[in-house]
Amino acid sequence: MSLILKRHTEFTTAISVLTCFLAHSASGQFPDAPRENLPPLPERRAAVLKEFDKDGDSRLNAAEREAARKAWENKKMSERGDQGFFRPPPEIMEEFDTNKDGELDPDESRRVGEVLGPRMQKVQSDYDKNTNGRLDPDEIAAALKDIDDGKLKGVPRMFIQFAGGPPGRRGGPGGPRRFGGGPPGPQAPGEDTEDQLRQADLDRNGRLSAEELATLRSQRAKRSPGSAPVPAAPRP
Amino acid sequence: MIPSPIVSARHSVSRLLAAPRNFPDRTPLCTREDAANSRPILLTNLRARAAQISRSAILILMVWGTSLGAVAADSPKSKDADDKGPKSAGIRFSRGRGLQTSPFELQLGPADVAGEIRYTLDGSAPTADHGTVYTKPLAIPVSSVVRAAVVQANGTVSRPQTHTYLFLSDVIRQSPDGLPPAGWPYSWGDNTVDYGMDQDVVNHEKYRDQIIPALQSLPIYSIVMDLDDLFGGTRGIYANSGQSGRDWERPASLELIRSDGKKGFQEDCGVRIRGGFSSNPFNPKHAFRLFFRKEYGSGKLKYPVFGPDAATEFDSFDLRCPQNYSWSLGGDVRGLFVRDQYSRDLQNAMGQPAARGDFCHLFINGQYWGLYDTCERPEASYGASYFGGKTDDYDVIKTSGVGGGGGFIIEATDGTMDAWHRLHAAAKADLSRNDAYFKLLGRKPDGSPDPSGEVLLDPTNLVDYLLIIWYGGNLDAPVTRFGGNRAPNNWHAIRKRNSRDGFKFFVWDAEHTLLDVEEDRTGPFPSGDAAESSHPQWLFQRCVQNAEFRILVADRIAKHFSPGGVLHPESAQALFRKRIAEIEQAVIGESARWGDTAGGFPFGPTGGPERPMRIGPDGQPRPYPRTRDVEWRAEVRRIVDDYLPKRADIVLFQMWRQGFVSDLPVPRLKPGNNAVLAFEPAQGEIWYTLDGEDPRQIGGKPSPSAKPFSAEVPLPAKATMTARLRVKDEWGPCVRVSGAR
Repeated sequence: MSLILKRHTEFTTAISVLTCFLAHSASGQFPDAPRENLPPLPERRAAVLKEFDKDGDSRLNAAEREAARKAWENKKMSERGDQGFFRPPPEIMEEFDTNKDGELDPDESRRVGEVLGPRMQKVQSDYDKNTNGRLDPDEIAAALKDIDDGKLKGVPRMFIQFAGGPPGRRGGPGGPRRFGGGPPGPQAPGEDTEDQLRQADLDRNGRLSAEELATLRSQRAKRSPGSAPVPAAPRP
Repeated sequence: MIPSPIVSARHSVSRLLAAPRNFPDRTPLCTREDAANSRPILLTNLRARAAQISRSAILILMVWGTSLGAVAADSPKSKDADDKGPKSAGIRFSRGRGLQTSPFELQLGPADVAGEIRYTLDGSAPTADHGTVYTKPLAIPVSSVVRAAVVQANGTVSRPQTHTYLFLSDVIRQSPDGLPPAGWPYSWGDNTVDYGMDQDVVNHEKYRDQIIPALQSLPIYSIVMDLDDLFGGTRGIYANSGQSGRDWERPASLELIRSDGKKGFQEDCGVRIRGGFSSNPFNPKHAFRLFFRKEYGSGKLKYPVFGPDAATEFDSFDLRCPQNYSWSLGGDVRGLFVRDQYSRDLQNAMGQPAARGDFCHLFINGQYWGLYDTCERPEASYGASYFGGKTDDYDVIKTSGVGGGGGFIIEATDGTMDAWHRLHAAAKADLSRNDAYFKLLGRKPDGSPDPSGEVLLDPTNLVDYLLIIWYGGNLDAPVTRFGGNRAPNNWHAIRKRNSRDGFKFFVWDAEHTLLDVEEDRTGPFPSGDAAESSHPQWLFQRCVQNAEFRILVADRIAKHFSPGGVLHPESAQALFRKRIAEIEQAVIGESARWGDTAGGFPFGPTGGPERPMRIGPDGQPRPYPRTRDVEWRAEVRRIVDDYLPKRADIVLFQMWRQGFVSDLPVPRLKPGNNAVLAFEPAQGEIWYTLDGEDPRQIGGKPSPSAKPFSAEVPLPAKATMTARLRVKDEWGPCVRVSGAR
């Protein structure tokens, strides 16, 4: 079984990824969402014939096909392009969609970067009390409280939440950090696998020698005697 | 060049530099020429902007930028790009590389060159002061990578020789608890780390007898290199997977190990991380691009990587791996692993040029790294190999990472953009007029060849390309759905200058395919009017204004969707099943290596319900692995039982609704021999020729050599009959029958 580790995520990266996540969720346009309620093909075909089969011979001749093509083209080309799968959080739209057309125009997008980036950096510097380069759960909680209390303005709440892991993953919003994308659930302080590895790396060379690995495995076995190294068989 | 944290996310760079999504005419912050030609300029411009915009803002913009899959422009070659490196000393290895079954002693030497033999076992290259001096045979009891070089008295070091020895019986036990192998780093920079073979798979009653055959079922590529070059925080390409270009290429050895007894190869090369979106650090499994340069080795890989019918010499090729919809990226239950390859197979099966590929296993320094597939690169060297001439003769156009809020822009990765710009400009004319349309094809207004005309477009290739895109429901090419259908992505075009060939298009990165059976990518899409963000679908949308082009479209649809055609359900099934059969056993290896990847992927649900959990060796809950028999076979069944049987009819309807499909049938031949042809009765007249000419003239009249069919027609052995149904003044799709059918 592989163990997944991840270096501590930068707050800023977390923000961006949260945005992806939220945009995905908000858009409701996952590629895996099947189109529902489409009528059967014969019905769809009949509808097209009804509109374009002018001579009523149950087929489209060249002229009718060209009319159908042009009608479809006009319809599609007049549609406003959708937002794709990525859609900014509402707070962002509220502040930066200045012409309120429902999209971020180029200047508006640029403004987001110019304004929000430094703002986020300041959040990190203000709330990273132990200066470990990331927001720990207590620091996230403090930032969220300040948002709720109106002391921290202009920062989407969800950006902060995501510093604790995307919803449904890695402990959920504001939850304990799990590095490496492990499953949801609490994790006791000091049990972070990367921390274990660092502690086992006695010569601090970023790698574990065979001896260091043996020591780590021995320690793990003592802590969780029933779980290593070969777990139960997979589900049926 | 010292890596700049500012540009560590190349997508961010791209989106800062180019026009935002909804405003394709907006002037980019950096010119295309800057972007295409020069990384230093790119950096300069970026840094100027980055002084004002924090990294987080860049990344936020990345999100609202568009697509998933761009590749940043390469930096120009360094001055010593073609310098020859050191030569091999010809050290004899007493055991050939490859799969082993029992421990052995390895003798090194003698060498062709006098000196001290030094060797390493950690993937690094021996140097005058690095490695162990060889004094006695080496015991090789487990999977090992041995690199040896001769250090001469004057300090000259030969090019290292590399041999990979794999004992599959220990491969299946690698990192059984997920801890790093001894001597391997436990941190991969910013990248998610994932080691080991899942023992729940390896030991399962369904797989325990199949896991080793699974690893033997495909060719094995072995990359051997300094682990710091992969995982080192400052210089490791895996640890800095978002970086690109020549500065992020590292030396390596590449071996091909075949378990079928056929000869493989070893060649030294440069290796980079490939991919756009997938190169993000939350993805633990990256794909590679391999470059064969003289500074590393012989300068060419001479081996029929893609089979006997393909090129045999390569400057580069890719080792792709499934990324979107894969187990390694968020444990996506839709892991199928053949999506991109299948689209490329379809293009090849249509008789069009395509980027070939085959599946393989990859090992890195002896550690199993999972299921990969080789992929030709549609670039100038590809053109020279398959279409003739020199690499300098070719223009290669592709989407670039140097794009922005408006999506990616295109660039010439070989040659220039000049011809593309001429094509784009010409396609803006009123193409309903034959003179304008035929100008793209280098023909006179009446459609006859114009020797002085420039052939800019291969229209048949264009139509075939798009039929594959539409059939697969490709969300990310050549217009990306992820960018609101405003931006181009994932397409390549090749054209040989000063030839009678127009631009041809290549399916690329077709991972977002075979998803929703009702997916409609036929467009048209409101994008492509600006040359820098144009794409083949825009060309199609322009050309389809022309009646002659529409005849061609209907012909190609009829050809490919009719029985025997590539996109007919039976043919499409057969091609799909062939690829599935290729990896059916190998997927067990992928399941053991990457099936338990739990997270890292930030995009939430990945197509399935919550994963069942188990307790891992660290006492923490871990998801059960994705397996061949559960998730993979379910997805295969979905494709085989639902998508492929239904898809042709659905796409035909989507195209018919747009008037692309003729309602007149293709003339059907009566069963019989091919010496005498007869058609089934049809409403209307069947016209045919035996000289290869179209029975329909441009404009719609019967061609001079065409005859109305009335009875049986003898078909000479080397002749081709071309026939069409004609009803009133309308012609149906053509059918061609060779005398040698």
